Amino acid sequence: MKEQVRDLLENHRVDVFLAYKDLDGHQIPWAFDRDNLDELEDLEVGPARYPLDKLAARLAGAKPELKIGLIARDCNHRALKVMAAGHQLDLDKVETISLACCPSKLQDHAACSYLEPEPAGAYKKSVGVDNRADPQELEPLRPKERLARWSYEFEKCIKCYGCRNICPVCYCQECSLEHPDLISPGRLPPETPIFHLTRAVHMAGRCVDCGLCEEACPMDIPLRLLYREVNRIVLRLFDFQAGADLSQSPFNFLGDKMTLELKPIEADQEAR
Amino acid sequence: MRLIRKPVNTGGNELDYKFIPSICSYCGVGCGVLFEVLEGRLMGTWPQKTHPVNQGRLCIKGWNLHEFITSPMRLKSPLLKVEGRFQRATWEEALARTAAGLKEVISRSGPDSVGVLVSAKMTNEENYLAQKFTRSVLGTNNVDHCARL
Amino acid sequence: MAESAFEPKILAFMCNWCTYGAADLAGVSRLAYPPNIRPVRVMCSATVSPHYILRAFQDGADGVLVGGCHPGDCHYLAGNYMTIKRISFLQELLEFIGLGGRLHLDWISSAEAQKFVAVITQFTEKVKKMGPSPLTGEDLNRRLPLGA
Repeated sequence: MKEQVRDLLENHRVDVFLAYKDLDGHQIPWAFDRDNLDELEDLEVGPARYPLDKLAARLAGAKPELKIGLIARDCNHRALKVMAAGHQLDLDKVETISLACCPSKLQDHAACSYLEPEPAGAYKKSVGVDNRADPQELEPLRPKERLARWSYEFEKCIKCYGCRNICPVCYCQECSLEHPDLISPGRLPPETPIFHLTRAVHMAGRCVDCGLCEEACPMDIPLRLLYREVNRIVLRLFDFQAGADLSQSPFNFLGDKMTLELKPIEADQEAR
Repeated sequence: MRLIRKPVNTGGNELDYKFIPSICSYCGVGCGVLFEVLEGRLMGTWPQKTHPVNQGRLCIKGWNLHEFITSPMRLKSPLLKVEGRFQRATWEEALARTAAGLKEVISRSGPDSVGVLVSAKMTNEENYLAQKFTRSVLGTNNVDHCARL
Repeated sequence: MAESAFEPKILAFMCNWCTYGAADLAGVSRLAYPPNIRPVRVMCSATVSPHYILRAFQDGADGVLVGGCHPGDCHYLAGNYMTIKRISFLQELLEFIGLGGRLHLDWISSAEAQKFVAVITQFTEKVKKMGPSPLTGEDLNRRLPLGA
């Protein structure tokens, strides 16, 4: 890979290449450039994942004429497409070197070799939601129990905004989660469940299931599970998968026809 | 973090984009952070994923370390309160007033009537200096840190 | 069993051109319907953001109703296409969390006063049967193990 990067830099295919550098055993994100090619000796990719795609977009915002290269896992590729569709990046100015990781897109947890969450303890399993669970496993639960379990999880939130800060597809200039008219900033604990539900709604049509949010959550809230369900809903209702291609999310345009049917009032009575 | 929208023009074509590992200066946990520096300007703070203490997680104060460092609200000169309002002062004036004030209080009510509060936003070395000053010069051990509040 | 004394609070977002007109017509025609709704007039049902709906539930609404124009009749041409996308998604998400069944979307044109009355009555009945929203009340009854 070092040779590939050197090649890209020397041939002016990219001006800067975002990858990782070894620093005393830690792999930290690093921008390799043409003037310091000897730094490439320390290029090392470990299991730690940083949102290089987000860094590329930030760099592109500050320096639009720059040609940026980065190493991209499957989730990064998806994120790049979503960002390009949202006009955060010009894909013509982006080169990627792919890294093989998850064997299939948007698959379930265990398939992502770099994401090994800690197994949930007994207490969390009994009153909360197991991060490793599949959204389908929650289906047999009755609504009261669902809300109880999710509330247990959401109430742990310390509003660090880590999930939002690290998310590669969160690029709004004015974030609703900090907007004083919507969710009051500076108020702890956050209003549950709407703090997390607001984020979940914003992830519809956007989330690429990279799992960085869950990795960044100090309280082990099963965010990836929640957004995975969001993705399933969007797939079921609109046959749309974020990051599969450059098409716009169904929530980004009004459309010109009805694609869904109204639900009757008696649809889901207490029979559940 | 908000996307940097304003193009940063420095003229040269060499890109100076670095990630500097550091430790969060706030509480006693000491989470590993990475400072994102573009052309000498601090743009953002990221967690160090491989750091054993925080393992890629930060609290809201840690995520926003870059804010206070580059904040436009930082003082650029000493301020003295004159008739209830802060006025710009020189270092000489400020130090003289402070020394005089402290001496006066200590002579009137003893050294233990003074307390010193140090800050997480100062360096460790400055904090050490402050507590040394409090203990050796002022003669009291009433020194505490904002993280304890 | 919900007590008969429980009166649900239902926030009803009504599009100015259709549903609000229907409500007005119902009033003028002296048609009776349950008084539980709190009407909010919006210019188009598409302007009802999920923020408002979530905020309504967080602040104690037992049910939320969104009324818009029939497909093809939107005063702004394409608003209601977005409305149904958004509301359908939100309905499924709320269902997943355990707050399902409390959000309803219907198309009610300005001449359909009877339909307006029917929808309000049916929805109020349903929410009444479901009981108060689990986000209201002190204990919230949200913890496991579940109470009575």
